[in-house]
Amino acid sequence: MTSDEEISRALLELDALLGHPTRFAIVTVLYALGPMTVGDLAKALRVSYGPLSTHLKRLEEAGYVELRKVLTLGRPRTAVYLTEKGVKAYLDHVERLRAVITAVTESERSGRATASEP
Amino acid sequence: MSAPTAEEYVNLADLARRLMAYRYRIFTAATQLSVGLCVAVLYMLWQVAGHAVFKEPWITPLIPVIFFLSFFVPLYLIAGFIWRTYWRSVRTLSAATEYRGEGRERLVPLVYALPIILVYTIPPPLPHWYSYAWFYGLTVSHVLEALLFEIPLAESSPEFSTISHRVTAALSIAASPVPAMISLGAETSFLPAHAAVIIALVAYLVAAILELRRAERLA
Repeated sequence: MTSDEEISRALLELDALLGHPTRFAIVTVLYALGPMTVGDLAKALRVSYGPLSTHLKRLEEAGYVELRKVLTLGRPRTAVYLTEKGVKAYLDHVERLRAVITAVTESERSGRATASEP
Repeated sequence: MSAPTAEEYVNLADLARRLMAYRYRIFTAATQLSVGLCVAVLYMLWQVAGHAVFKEPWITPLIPVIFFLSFFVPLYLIAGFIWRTYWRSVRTLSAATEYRGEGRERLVPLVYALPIILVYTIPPPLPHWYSYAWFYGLTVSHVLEALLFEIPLAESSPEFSTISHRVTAALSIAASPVPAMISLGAETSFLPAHAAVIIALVAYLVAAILELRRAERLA
């Protein structure tokens, strides 16, 4: 398989849902820091509630996160939990990104080598 | 602002993984310190209560049941609460690592209960046995915890590896003759019991400090 084909295949295998920067950031924050309330997530990512809710709904529909009502000292809040499926999808996505980077790097290297040949 | 590159995504993910591993080590160190503190507090309470009620804190016929109920049940409840609190926030650990416990996690309560029950059900092999038998039970528990969980996790996912149970087990084993030897020459149970508590606390403290150091290196 040529490196261009490898790159194309790796790009096709990327998780479309996690390809969006905000959704990737949401899952990264939940992965690194654990469950958070929607308010804390909005503050951490500097995203307003509207777009954040839309992204969370899509992640929830895919089974990547769970939204649960939790009791706090003030009032009930919605906490966002990363599911096991979400963790696996996230780690797979990162590995595929790594594969794309490796394939692109290899492709550039071989391209440079071909160009420098007399 | 331009869209993030693939390298930036991957770098962020690597950072997240390191952060998670850091949290895991900090939690492990905090747990060791918390359990050590619980052991010390419960031991002191037991000594005081034993004196107040029985005049002699280690009354042989009642020891196994009373000791287990008053010492280890609260300890297990506290340890369970700590674990539950943590696990809620990093329940993704098993999904994030190559480690597959194959249900062995369910054995944790048994790992910490069976050795303790065993040392309190066998006929006392040494003087004042009931006052420090828990120490040998806990040592066995730490060895089992290291063999069943800590080492497999360290082998499968080195960045999530911890050493606290191995350190605690090794230090406890190395010092294990001390309470037994003291008990042979002691007139009361205080000396061997105190020696066992001191060894346990030192082992927990050393394990926690080493784990904190490993976490800092990771950061």
